Amino acid sequence: MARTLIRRLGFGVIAVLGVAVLSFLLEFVVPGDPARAIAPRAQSAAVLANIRIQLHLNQPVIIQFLDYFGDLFRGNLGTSYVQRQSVTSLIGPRLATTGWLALAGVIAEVILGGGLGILATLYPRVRAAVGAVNLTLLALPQFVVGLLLLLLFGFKLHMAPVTGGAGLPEIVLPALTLGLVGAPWYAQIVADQMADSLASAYVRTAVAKGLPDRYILWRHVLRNVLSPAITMIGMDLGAYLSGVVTVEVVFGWPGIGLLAVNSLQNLDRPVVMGTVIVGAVAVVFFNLVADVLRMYVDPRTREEQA
Amino acid sequence: MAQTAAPAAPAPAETATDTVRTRSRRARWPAALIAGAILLAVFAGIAIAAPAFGNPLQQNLLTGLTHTGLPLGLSRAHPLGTDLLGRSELARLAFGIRTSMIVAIVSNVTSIAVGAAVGLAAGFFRGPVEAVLMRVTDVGLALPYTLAALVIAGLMTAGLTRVIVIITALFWAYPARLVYGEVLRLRHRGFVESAEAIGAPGVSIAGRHLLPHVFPLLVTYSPLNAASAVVFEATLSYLGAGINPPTASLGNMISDGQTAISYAPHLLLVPAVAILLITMSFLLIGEGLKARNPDLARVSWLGR
Amino acid sequence: MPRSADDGARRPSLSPPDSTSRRGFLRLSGAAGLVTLGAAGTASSLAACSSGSAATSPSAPGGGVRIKEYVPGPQPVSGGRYGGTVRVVWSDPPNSLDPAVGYNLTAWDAITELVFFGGLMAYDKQLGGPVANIAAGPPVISADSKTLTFSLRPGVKFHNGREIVASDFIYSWERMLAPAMASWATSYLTSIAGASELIAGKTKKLEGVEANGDHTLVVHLTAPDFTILNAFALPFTAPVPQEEVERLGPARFGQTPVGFGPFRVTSYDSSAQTAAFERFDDYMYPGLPYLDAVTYRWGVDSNVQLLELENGSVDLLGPGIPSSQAAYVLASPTLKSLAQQRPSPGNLWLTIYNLDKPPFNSPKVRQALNWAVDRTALSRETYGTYAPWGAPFPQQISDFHPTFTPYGYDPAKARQLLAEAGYPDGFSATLSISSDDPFPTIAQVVQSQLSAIGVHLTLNQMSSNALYSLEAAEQSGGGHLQLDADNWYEVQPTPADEVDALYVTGASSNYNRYSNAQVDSLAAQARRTFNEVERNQLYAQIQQIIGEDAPFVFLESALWLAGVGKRLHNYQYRGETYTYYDRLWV
Repeated sequence: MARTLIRRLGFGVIAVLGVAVLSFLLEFVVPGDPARAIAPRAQSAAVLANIRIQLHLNQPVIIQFLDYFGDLFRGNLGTSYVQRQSVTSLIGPRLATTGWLALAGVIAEVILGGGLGILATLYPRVRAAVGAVNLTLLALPQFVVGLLLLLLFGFKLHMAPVTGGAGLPEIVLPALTLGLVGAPWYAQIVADQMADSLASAYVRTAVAKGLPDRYILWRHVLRNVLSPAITMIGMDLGAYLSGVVTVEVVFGWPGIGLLAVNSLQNLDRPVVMGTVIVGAVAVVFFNLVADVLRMYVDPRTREEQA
Repeated sequence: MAQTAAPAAPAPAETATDTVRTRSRRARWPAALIAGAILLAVFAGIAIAAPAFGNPLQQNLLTGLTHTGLPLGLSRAHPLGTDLLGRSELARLAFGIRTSMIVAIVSNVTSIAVGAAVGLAAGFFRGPVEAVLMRVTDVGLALPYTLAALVIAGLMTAGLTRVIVIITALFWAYPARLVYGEVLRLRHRGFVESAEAIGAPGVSIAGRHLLPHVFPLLVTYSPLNAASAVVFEATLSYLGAGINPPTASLGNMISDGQTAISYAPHLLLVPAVAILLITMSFLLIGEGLKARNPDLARVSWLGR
Repeated sequence: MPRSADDGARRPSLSPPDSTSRRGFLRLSGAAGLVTLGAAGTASSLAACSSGSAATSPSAPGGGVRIKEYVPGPQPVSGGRYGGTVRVVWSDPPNSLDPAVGYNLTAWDAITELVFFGGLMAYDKQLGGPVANIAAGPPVISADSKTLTFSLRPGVKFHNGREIVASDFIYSWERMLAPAMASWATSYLTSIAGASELIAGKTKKLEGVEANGDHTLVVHLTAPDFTILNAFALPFTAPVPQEEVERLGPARFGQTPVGFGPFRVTSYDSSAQTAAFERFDDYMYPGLPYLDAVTYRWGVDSNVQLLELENGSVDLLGPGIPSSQAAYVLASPTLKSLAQQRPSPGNLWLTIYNLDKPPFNSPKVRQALNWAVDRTALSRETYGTYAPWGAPFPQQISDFHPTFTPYGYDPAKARQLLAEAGYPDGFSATLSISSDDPFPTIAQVVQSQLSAIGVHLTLNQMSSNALYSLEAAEQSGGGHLQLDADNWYEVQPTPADEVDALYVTGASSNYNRYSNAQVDSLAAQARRTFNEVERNQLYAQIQQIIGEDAPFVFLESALWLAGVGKRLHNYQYRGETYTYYDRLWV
C-alpha cells in the first residue's frame, strides 16, 4: 500500500506540473495584453512598452517560461502585476479561509444530499417529493440560491450576519448554499447505490439470516454508498479550493475566489498561475486522499492502482 | 433519487430472472419512461414550433417596458411578461428551449462519451495507459475552467459549436473518474477475469461486459450533467464565450434574470422552471430505462 | 466540473461599473498627442480661479457648525456635525493605494479623497478646472507660458507631522516617472522638461523642476501645455514623504501609504478585505473633516451591496448603484431616496473602423448611422446611468459651450443620406462588443434600430480583453473590426481629455485612425492656451468638425447614480475624483 501511495504521490506531482505548464501556455493564447490591462487604456505606446519591460513581458515566451518555473521551484510565486504584492502574500491568508468554506460546504452537501437520498430509498412515499426538491435545487444557479438564503435569513429574519467576514456565524449560509446546490448529486448517487445494494444477493442472505435492518444498512449498504460518494467528495474539495467565487462574493466571504476571477480578468498572470497551482495541488491531493479512503472502505477497489 | 419508478418495479410474481419477453407490458413500458418521453416530446415540440410563440428578437422599448424602462409582468398581451428589452418572454422561452436543448443533449452526450471512454480505458487496460489517462483526468479536473473557456473562445468563432466544445472540454473529467472507480469495482467482481479466462478479446470485454454495468451510472449522471450544461452556459455568456445575443438561450435568459431578480423575478423563474422540467424529463426517461432492464431491476430485500 | 465548481463569476455584478467599464474612466490624454513648439501662448493667469482662504475656526464639536472655508470641490460647506464613521462597500479590492500606481475605482476613491487630496492643485466646484490646493495660489506663468512658478502654502503637513516642501514634489515626481515604477500615468507629465528622458531611463533626475527654498517650486515645460495644471490636481503628482516610502517599502506603502489628505490609513487587511481610515487632525483645511473614520469593505457582489444599503449595514456604495438596478431603484418608492444623481464626465459611443474603405469612408454613411439611432428609446435601457447625447464630448464640461447641434432621431433623413451615398438598400456589418454591462444591451437595441434603415448588424460578443486586443490591432493597421462600442470617463474637466486621446492623429486611444488636419492644429493650439474661455472656443470648433465627420456613432452621456444611506449628509461628488469625504457628516 505504501508503494502505491508513493507512486500516486509522484504521479500527483506530475499532474500538478502538467496543469501549471498548460495554464502558463494557455495564458499566452488568451486574447489580451497584460500591460494594457494593468495600465488603463489609452496609454502612450512608450508607457506600455516600459510596463512590458518591467514585467518581463517583452521577452520571448520560452524565457518567461523558464524564469517562471525556475522561480517556482525555488518557492517564489512572483509578484502581482496589478497589486504589486507578492503572490504568496495575496493567496496565503485567503487559502485557509476558502479551505474552511470548502470543508463546511462538503459536509453540508453530504448531509443534505445523503439524507435526501436515504430518505428517498427507505421511504418510497416521499420519493416524489424528494425528487422534486432535488430537481429544483439543480435548476437554480448558485448565485440565486445564495442570494435567496441571504435575503431570507440575513435581511428579513436577521438570523445571519450580512456584512461578510470569516467567522463561524458567517460560514453557515455560504456553506448551506454550497450544500443545497451540491445535494442533488449526492442524493442521486446515494439513492442509486443504496437501491443497488438493497437488491443484492448479500442483503438477501442477510435478511434471510434474520439480521436486523439497521445492522444490514450499516454494515453493507453504507459501504457501497461510501465508495462513489468519497470519489465525489474528493473532486468537490478540489473544485472548491480552486475558488467558489459566486458564493464568496454574495456573502462577502474573503476567500481566493474573487482573487482568482479578478486576476484572470486583469490578465494578472502571476496571480492566475498562483491560484491555478493551488487549485491543482488541492485537486490532486484530495483525489488522492479520496482514493486511499475508498480503498480502505471498499476493499474491492484496493488492488494496485496507478 | 427521482425514483418515481415505483410502479415500474416488477410485480411480486416476477423475479429478476424473467426475460424481457415474459414481462408484462406494464413492466416493459414503465410509467416513468412514458411520462418522461411525453414531457420530452412536449419540449421538443415547443422547440420545433418556436416561431409560433412569437418573435424573440422584437424589441418593444416603448410598449414593452414600464415608463422607467423595467420589464412588464404577466399579462394578456404578454403571457410570460417581457424581458429587459421589452421582448416577449414567451417567444424567448420557446427559442431558448430550442437552443438549449441542442446544447444540453449534444454536449451531454459528447462529454459523457469522452469521459466514459477515458474511464473505461483506464480501468480496463491498467498499467501505463491507466497512469497516463488518470493524470490527464486530474489535469482536466484541475484546469481552471474560466481560463480554458476563454482560450477556446478565442480560438473558435462564436456559435453553438463553440459552446458545445467548451462544455465538453470542461465536463468530461468528472464522468471519467466516476466510471474509472466503477470499472475497478467491476474488475473485482470478476467480470473481467472470467471473460478473459474464456478467451474473449479485450475490447469486447469492455464493450460487452463492463459497459452494461457502467451504463446505469451514466444514466443516473446524465440528466444532472445536461442540466448543469444548460446553466453553465450562463457563465459562458458572462465571459463572452456563450451564445451571442440577441439569440435566446435558457442560459443567457438565466443570466439576465439574475440581474433583474429584485424587480422582475419572472425573468429568472421562466428559464429555471423550463430547465427543471426538461431535466425531469431526462431523469424520468433514465429511470424508465433502468426499470425496463430486468438485469437492473432492483427490488429492495428489506421489503420497502 | 458540472456542479461543484462555481457556476459563474458574477461578472455583470462585479465588473461594471468597477473594474472594466468604469475603469474606462482612466483613459489618459496620451502625450502622444501633438505638442508643437514655438508660437507663444499669451501669458495669463488662469481664468475662473478663485483662491480665498479666509478661514473661520469652527466652534467645539457637537454643535451645528458653520465652516466658511474655501475648499476645492463641490460647494457649499456648512452646518456640519462632527463625529461618526461612514462605511463604504466595494466590489473589487484597490489595486494599490500608492498614488503613483493606483487606478481602479476603489483605489482612486481612497487616494483622491481620503489619504491624499489633490496635489499642487485640486479641481474647483462641481465642474470647474484646477485651483490652488497645496499651492498658495495660481502659478505665475512666464511670458512664453513655459515656466510656472508655484508658491507653496506653509504648514501643510503629511500624516507623520512633517511639513510638505518643494523638494517633496520633485522626489515624488521622479519616483513616479522612474521606469521601475511602471506607472500608468507617466505620459501626463511629458511636457515637463526632462520628463521624457527620465521615463526612458536615460536620467535619474527631473531636470525641468527646481525647488527655490522650501516654498517655491519652478516647473519648466518643453512647450506651453495647460493640461499640466490638471495633472497637478490628480493623485499621481501628489507629494509623498520619502522617509515613509523608504521605511515602509513598496509593498507596504501600497497598502498603508502616508499622505496629507483628510484621513490617515490605520489598517489594511487584504485577507479580511477591509481597510480603515481615521481623521487627520492637522488636515490643511481647518475644521474638516467632520467624520472620525471611514471604513472600506470590498469583495461584495453589487446586488448584495444594494441590499446592505437598504438594510443600513453600509452607508455608501463605492461603485454607485449598479446600472442593472438603476431603473428599479429610481422607480421604487422606498429605494429612490437612497439614490442621488450627479453629473459625470463620461460618454458612450460606437466606434466606426476602416474609415478609408467602403461603406464607412463616406461621411454621409456615418452621419446616417447617427441619425438612425433613437437615443431616447435607448436610454430607457440605461435609465439612471446614461442620458441621450448625440454629440462628441460628455454633455457637461466646465465652461464649455458647444456649437454643435447633437444628432437626433430621424430615420427618414438617415435613409436619404444612405441613398445619396450609394446604399439605398443599406448594407451589413459586424458590431463587436465586450460582454460587460451595458454594452450587450445597447448593442441589441442599436442593432434593432439600425435594421429599420437597412443596416443589418451581426453582434460579436467577447471578453473585454479580447476586444482591447482587436482595437490595438486596428491601431497598427491590421484589423478587421467594423464597429465596436466604447465608453470614456474623463479625469480632466476639459474636452482636451478626449480630444488628445481619441481624435488627434495617432493619439493613444485613436483606434480607428481618425485623422483630420484641422482638428490636429486646433487641438495643438488649444493645448497651448492657458485662457479657459479662448481654449474652449477652440474646442467648440473641434466639436463641430468631429460632429460632422462622425467617426463615431455618438450615443449617450454618463450620469452618476450614487447609493447614499440615510445617515449621510452633504454628500458631494465629482466625477473626476469621486466622493468628498472631508465634508460628509452623519
